[in-house]
Amino acid sequence: MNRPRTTGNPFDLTKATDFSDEQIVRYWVDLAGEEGLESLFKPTSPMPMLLLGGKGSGKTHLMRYFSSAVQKLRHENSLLAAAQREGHIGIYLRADGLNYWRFAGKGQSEDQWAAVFSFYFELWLAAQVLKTVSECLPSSVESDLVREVLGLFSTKQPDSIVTVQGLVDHLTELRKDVDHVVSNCTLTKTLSPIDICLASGQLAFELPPLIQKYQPEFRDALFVYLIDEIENFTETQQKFLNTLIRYRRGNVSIKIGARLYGIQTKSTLGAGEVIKQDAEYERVELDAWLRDQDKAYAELARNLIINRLEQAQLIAPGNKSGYLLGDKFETLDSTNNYQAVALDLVKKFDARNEERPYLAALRQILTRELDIKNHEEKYRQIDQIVSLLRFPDHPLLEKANIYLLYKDWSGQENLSKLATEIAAQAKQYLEGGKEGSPKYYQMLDHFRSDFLAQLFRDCSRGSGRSVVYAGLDTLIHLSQGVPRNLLTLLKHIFRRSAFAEERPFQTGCRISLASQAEGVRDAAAWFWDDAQPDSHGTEVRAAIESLAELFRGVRFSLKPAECELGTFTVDNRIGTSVARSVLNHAENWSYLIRVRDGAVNRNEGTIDGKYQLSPMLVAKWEVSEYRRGTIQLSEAIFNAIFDPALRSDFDDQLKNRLRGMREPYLNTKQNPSQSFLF
Amino acid sequence: MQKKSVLHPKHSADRKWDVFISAFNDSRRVKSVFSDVTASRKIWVMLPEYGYQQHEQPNHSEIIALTSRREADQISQLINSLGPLEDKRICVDITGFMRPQILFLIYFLTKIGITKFDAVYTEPEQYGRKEDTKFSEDVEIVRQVDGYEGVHTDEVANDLLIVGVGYDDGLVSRVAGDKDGAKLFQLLSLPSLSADMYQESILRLDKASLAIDPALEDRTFFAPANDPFVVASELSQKFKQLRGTYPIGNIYLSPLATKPQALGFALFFLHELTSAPASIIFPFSNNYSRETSKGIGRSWVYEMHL
Repeated sequence: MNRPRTTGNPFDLTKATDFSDEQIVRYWVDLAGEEGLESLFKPTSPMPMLLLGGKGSGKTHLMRYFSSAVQKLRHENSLLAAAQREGHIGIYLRADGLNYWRFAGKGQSEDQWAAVFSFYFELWLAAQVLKTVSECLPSSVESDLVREVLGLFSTKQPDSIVTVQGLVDHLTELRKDVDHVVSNCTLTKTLSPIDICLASGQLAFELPPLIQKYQPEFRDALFVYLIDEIENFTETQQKFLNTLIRYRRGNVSIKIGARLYGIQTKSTLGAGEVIKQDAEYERVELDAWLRDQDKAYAELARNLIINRLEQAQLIAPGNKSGYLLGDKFETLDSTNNYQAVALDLVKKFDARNEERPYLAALRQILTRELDIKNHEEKYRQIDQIVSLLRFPDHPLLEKANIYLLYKDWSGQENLSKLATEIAAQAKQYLEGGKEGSPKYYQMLDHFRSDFLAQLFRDCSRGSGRSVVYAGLDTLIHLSQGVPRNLLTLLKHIFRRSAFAEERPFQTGCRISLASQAEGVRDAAAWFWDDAQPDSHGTEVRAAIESLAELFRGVRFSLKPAECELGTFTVDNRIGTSVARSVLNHAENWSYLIRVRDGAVNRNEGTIDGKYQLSPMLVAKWEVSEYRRGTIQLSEAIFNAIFDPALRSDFDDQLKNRLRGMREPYLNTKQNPSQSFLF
Repeated sequence: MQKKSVLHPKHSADRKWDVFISAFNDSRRVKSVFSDVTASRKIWVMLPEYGYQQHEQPNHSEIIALTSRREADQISQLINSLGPLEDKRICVDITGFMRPQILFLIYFLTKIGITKFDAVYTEPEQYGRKEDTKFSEDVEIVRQVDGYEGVHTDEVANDLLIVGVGYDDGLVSRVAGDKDGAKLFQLLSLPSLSADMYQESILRLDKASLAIDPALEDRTFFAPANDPFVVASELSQKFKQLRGTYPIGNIYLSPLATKPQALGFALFFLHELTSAPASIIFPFSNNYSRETSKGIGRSWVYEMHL
């Protein structure tokens, strides 16, 4: 794995599989303090571990960091020194090197494949172990070690093998013999030529003690098998790994890396007993763990970025501590309710003496809905209402005022009076802030970012400018505990910024809002395509698109029922089995993040499942990246979203759900959905 | 001698085919060629991937409905159903077959001693829905194609992946993602049906490439879309060049473009890589579109000598 690749973009390399061993060290960043990644990973603990996480959560980087090749780099290239000082020897294995899909089907039984795969795996594993330690073994002991290792086989092995290299070659030949039979099995329909001359676990657990016997300097070191990317193993193959976990013994441990969805079974081979969490193994979900360490992850994220900038020589050595990373990103000026941003958005209308689009839309609705026979009076009232709600220096407050009008419109006899009250509240707020009008303040606090999003949309139609996600804190938040997401966001932003000649991260330069917005959108597109769900991809994507349509419909409606909507809850007892399965897949592929602890269902007294749309995707639909707002899905709409067979109901369900928000001026008789509970 | 020539289906009597085999789907280019060619026996093959029900089968006297989902079993069933084939002039219209089936067919024919046959392929006039044309439904698994499973080394640091890039960028991403430790090289097909198809495929490749490798400039080479013999030759030359430039461990090939390209990959593999730590891998789906093209372009016949 010695293939350093660098380009002008310091964030280009995002996958740990692409890193050289040196880059694994160079790009390593841990959380500050004692409760960091090393304490999570516990390389010297004999307890096996399932290390799970979404794509890009850092599993491979973590595992490779504790592998022997990288350990040596930390200790003057000496594995002996590394083993003594670190207390372990990490044997890193990427499962896809096995081409494991060969060991399935072809008209053979699962039991036959279990035996063949187990044998093959141990031959592979043992060869890696021997290759790793061979440089540390005195030549005087080789023949004795080899003899004892060959003694682990149930059939006599050639006497001519007397060196470790010879043993490695022999194991490789045995493996090739299996390869030949397995490859030809397609036509021969038999695996019987394979001579399985090893009991399961013999090499995996007996080889390390033999190595320690002949190299005493390893005596206190734990041999840790770091088996990465097993998510696509068949169930039988995973049972074999579970069996290794169950029967782990001696100075050996096992850490298995897989995607969130990657563990299909906890059963073992043979009797089929299940391995017990916490007693026989521990389960770590890496990205969930990082998300839970809010502040620590944010710091890790900053360090990760600074590390990359240092490597790319965009930060001078010694300047790290004073480097103000956040200043390198332009942010939306939130002063006075984003006054400057909002005025900039509406300026083209003001310059043309055109009514601002949301006021024009209000006027149109009033014209259509106000039931006043006298035309002169009608238009006088419309003018009055619009005028009252108008606050030219504060477009965001205009949006807020309109929202309040829509909110209380239904059943109102006198809209002019309502508009007068709203205008008064807005004035009080402008003059006194929270104390001036607590209610108005609270409403703004809830819906500010939604109003801003609406402003972007209202004022930007056709101009290519849309909702902006910008600023370092926002980018860290979007990444949701997954370092690769963060690097991908930055990679795309850097590309856009460099193309715009902004000289990103260079002294005195800032990355513009536009570059960040475009880069975030590019990253969202990448995330959408990169997830590559398995055979359920179509259903999952369709479901997420429907869900996003719902969220977007709420956000950009005239009267959003929820602020910063990014989350939904659903009763765990409802929904078709297909809908549940699609939901599960969406979570496994990180399109949805399950919120730990769920949400209390006040009606039922139960705990509902709670899920957030991945913040990495929000830019695709311009919805909120936060968890503030939540809607509860009824069974009907949940099924319509997640069950392809019921998708045809979705448009009607959506229309009903959003009607009260999109047409708040309808009274309750015309709009029964207003009383519909989410 | 390997030879590629234009086929005029209505004037194919001089080819003197004893057996003409074609995989049924909704494409005009598949149905019309089957209808127009001259052969002593013409056989429709119903592939389970297309999901045809019995009542949707064509009205024809000789239909073989394959039952397995595995290419080895499918082709074995097909060939074994045909009766003795020695000294028969065989023609397979590969247009409707899946690439793994085409690949295994070549392998299987060499194993049973058939060293000559003709393959026919008809280009579409245009693929439907332009750059959003989706050829496959969801990929279920990326695995080795039967018959092309090599014996690999356990050193993965110098793995090589050569992908024949096609229209479906999702497949390219999927295969590259499955072997994401390998050095990726991409064989682009030129000329495509028309200039706009080339542009379309570049657009789609660009979508996939960001997920794959930031430094692609030195890793792209070209071969004709419709000539398997040149594809095989280009692969051979590229491989020689790579062997001289990079240390090579395991080799993975994946033909994701046209079916003639898949033929070319098979020829190259069987000719040069059977003793190497090499495999052909492919992204398998459960279902395939019955109709992805519009119109009928040129038909080619490839005289294969294995």
